[in-house]
Amino acid sequence: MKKEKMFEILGKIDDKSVNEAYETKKTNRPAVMRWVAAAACLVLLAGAAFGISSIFRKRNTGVSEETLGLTMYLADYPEKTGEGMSSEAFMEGEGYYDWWKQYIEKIQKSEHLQSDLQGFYQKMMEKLVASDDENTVCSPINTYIAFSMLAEVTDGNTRQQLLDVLGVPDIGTLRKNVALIWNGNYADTPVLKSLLANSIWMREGLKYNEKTLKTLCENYYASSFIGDTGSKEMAEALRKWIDDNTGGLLTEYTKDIGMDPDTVMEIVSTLYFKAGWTEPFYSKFTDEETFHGSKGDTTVNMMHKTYMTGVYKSSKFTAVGIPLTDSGEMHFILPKEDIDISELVSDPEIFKSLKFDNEDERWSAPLVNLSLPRFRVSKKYDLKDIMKELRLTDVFAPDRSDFTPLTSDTENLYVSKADHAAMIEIDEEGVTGAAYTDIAVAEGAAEPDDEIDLVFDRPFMFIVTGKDGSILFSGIVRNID
Amino acid sequence: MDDSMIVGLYWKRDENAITESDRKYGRYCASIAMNIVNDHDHAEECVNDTWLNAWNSIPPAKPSLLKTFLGRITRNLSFDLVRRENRLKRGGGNISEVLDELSEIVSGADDTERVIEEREIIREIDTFLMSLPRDRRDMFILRYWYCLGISDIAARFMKSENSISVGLSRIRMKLRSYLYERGFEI
Repeated sequence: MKKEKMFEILGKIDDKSVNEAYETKKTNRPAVMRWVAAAACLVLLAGAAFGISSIFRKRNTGVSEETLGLTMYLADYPEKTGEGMSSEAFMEGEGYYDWWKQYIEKIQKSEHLQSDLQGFYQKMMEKLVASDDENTVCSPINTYIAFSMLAEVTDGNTRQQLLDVLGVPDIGTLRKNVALIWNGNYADTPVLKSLLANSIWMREGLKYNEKTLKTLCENYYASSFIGDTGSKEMAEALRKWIDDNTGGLLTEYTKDIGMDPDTVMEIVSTLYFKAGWTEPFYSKFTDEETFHGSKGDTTVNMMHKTYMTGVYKSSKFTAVGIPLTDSGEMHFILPKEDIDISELVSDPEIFKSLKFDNEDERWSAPLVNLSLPRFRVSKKYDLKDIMKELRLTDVFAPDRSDFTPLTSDTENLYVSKADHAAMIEIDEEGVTGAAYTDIAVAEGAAEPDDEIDLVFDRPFMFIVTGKDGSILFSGIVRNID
Repeated sequence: MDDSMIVGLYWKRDENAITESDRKYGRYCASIAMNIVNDHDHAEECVNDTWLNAWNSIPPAKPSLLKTFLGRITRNLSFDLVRRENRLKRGGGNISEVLDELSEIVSGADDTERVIEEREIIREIDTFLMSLPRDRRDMFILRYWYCLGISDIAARFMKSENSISVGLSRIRMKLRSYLYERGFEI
């Protein structure tokens, strides 16, 4: 073919692409801020008859105020932005820039905390992600918030042990940090869902410290509910609350959720996350290919795309991040053939691969031919043993634990349940994930300019970061069914 | 005026269709023509011929994207003019550079008989372009559809001219391999 003919043929390509190319303009988003929505608390002291309150947040269930009992405090969550709009209409509208300014200001306040959180994230990832030879996924940020709430309702050495694990000097700092992290990661727009929710479920008939519940509401966005902790209704309300706030993505674990009659209070923290790749994978390029899992080969749907990005190469692994619209990135970490993937989790160098550093020669910016399998991973953990390994011992010892900030009406309280479940799924469009941590306290007897191919066709690690650098999810994919 | 209304005027054979087209897309078409013919008088001639051409083709055509419909006519007319005037050898506009770059994709053989394949090739090129990151796709189209100069593309993407040249070169090589792997020996 002659070059003139090729020029003519190129003149007939898709109109939409031609128009988009002409319209393209590189713009920098403004990084200035107008205001930050403050959290507010509603104090609800309704309901003469004890039972269960089932007031859910508008975002999930519509306005449902089917009050069956008593709600002490109902946390007020930020309003949805761009409700009813398509992603495109939202991003092209003027409201987007107002939202973006506020969002960036919140992120600027929380991103500097990330270096302090790294120690906790790494501990949790070591304990949860590298725990066995199965696929794993956990949400470090979700466990951080749940442990923080537990610190808020404890005192003395019990609290100190938690503060030590969380890496903060005092409860005042923790309160401030959690509020900043919560705000820096909360987004509810047509483009990005990063929805965090907290609650505390308490047994009726006891006197609770209102100041503590108010603090939980204001600093931790935790709603408080009171009811008959042994009843099916309360267990059902708890299950529904978790399902609503995790988008129903963890029902495989919540379907059997119960509440022991001895339970005095239960702390629950949830996270629902849905973000699109800034550049989606083109589905036409997804092929059936082989994944060499730890249990043998399987056929997977391998997505492909080529893009220029930062690649981190260490002696043990190669890492690449895929940006998520309005959020952080999903990082994929491929170990060298002779490196055990579980080893990587405890390698502090992993954190260096999460943030591009122009000065670091391990970073390059080549054109990457990326091959990445579609996958869904979910996992539930019993956190009790892990907490003990982290030297959180007093919360499990009825004779030593101190839960007086919450209630002095009963003694011998101890953590009887500590569950954490998470799931993550990726496809051509983006990432969807959910997590919850459920901690129950019971009463009882004393007790480049180069081009590289990066093919994720064998076990790899992943980390999803929020825009402020918080680690929302991390895990290992060893096998894909 | 809304595009559908302008198309409506063409269909009603209302000559205001041309006035409105010129008002809305005259500058757009003129910039395409200038990129190719590199001469104001010739560019104006191409734009004027664009309206006449549009008048003759709408109806029966009912373009959903009037802008690129008109821009494509201008592109074709400008390219015809450059060839007719034999301006290629004299380095008219960006077109000679653009064609030289495109010669890296094709064999240069005369295969005018292979008309049937053309539609399939266009479809594959569209698919290939959709697989590229947005900025690379835009870069390619700005160069090979709009015939924009490398320096203009670099300014638009806030990158160096060298980076744009290298990026375009890689896309050309990829496109060549892509078409070759799919059986198009062009």
